Amino acid sequence: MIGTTMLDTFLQGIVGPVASLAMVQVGVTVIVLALGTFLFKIRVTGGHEDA
Amino acid sequence: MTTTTYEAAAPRRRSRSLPTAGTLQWLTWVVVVGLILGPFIPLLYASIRDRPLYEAGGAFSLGAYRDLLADAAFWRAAAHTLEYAGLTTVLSVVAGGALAILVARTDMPGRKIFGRLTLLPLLLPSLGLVLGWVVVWGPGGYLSSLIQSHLHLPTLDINTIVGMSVIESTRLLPGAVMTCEAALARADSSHEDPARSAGAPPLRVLRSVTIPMLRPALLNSGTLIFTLAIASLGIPLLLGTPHNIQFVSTYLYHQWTNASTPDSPAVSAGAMVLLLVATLLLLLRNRLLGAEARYVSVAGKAGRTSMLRLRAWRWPLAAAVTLYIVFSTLVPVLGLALMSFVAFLTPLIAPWHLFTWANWQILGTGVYLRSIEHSALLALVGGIVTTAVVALGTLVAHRSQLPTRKSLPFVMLYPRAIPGLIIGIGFFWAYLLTGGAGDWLRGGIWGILLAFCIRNLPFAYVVMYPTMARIGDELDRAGRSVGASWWRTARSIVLPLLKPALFASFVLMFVEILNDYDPRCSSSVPGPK
Repeated sequence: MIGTTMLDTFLQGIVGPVASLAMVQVGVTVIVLALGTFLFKIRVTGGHEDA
Repeated sequence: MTTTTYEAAAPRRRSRSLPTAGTLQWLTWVVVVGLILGPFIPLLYASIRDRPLYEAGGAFSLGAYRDLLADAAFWRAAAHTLEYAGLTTVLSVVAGGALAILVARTDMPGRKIFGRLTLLPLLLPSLGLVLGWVVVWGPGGYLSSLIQSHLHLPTLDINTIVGMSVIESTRLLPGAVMTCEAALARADSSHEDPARSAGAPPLRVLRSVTIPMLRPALLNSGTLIFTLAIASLGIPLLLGTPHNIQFVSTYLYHQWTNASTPDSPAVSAGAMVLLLVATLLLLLRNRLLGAEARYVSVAGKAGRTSMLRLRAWRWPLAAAVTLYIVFSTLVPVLGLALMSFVAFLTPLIAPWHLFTWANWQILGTGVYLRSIEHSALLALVGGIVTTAVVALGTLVAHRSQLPTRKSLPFVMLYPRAIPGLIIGIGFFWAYLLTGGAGDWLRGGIWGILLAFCIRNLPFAYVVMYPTMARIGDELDRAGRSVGASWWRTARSIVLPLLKPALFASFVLMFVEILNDYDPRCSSSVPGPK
């Protein structure tokens, strides 16, 4: 998994690839949420205030 | 004649379809409850044995609890956790409540866009954000070094409990903002009008009317944030461990994964203690939600909201909120992006002199490529499977007459409050005790997928339930009145109307599973890897 690889690599003192992996996560997240918002009108709270 | 035929046919069809509907509903209930609560049974069992479950023999013993509670390191970790969670809660609730009031009840410029931007940490990968903080604000970080060397000003040491709490509170603050904003939207602003017309200044109105109305929402969000802070693993592991600051989560993590002689009964006992605390906090929160409903001062739809006039404070407060968003969220993400394109990040050398593609090229090789492929696959399959299971669970919970249906909403929200580490350990023991199938799940990525799906399942439910609540029961009754079975009604009427929520659930599940990591940290064999 990306998260565990990031943790393991960072704890070994390697930062560069961890930053790239984190940016992959950020990029995919932003694209998927943007598509979801555009296509399916997703709201962050899902219409549920106590989420 | 037609009426007679219908009346004669309808009961026959119903009597034929009822056992099928009942079986499906019971099956759904058993699968949902079994998968969510099932792994805690072997966890409890493991905690009351005198040796690890993978060793032959063994007897009932409370020795693991005695050892755990006699360990000074555990109590130090518990004290650190309480300090960390308490500070995080206070910071998040105070700042989140203030932001919600500014956004929902004042004439601050740009309040709507600020309302959306403050939710960013909720959407961005939490581990990435934390690493961004380390790159920018950590010891030797880009901005902290720049400020210390050029302005000779001290910066926050993020490797202390206070520093870690600040980072955690920026991550959890959106929860407080959303809860308080929703409470303010439901509350009638006419309660503030008499105070204003009597000449009370804005601060007095806030202190005497608005904040007391918000008290249940603040308590509710505070309880949730406290629970999530106790369960936090990433920040304590990345920032606390190098400076020997142990928290309960990292104490258990190190005992489970790194100890030369892992004491797995003691780890299971610690996980049970943490599970008990999280469950009690969740029950407390549910009580507070009831209290919050009693405080709502709206009958029907709220009237027009009167805005508090900030006067001379409008622009300074807007500037303060802008600075908060920029330095807590945008700068760490930009720092992370910059770090991915340089050999190392330092204010002493211009970044373009250190430019490299190496950090990106390496992602196409070895463990990095495998981690991306596994994450994408698990997020895709997990998103589809969880959405399907939660859709069925929500149907049974809110659209059936199953005697045990009322337990489902609580059970489906339960994993939200449970530390991912505990879910991982629970699944590890569950796989170990279930023989061949368990061994197969434990050895591959599908076992990990199950733990991730359960951990993130509440997100699917909180998306699906509000939409289902808006679909009137009369549609189901209309379907049933012409002889359609429960499943046929659900399939032909309710689920098609639920389609937008199903897609939304899939998207959110995809993102959450992609960015999650906690259960994986503990779902492998204890001891050195």
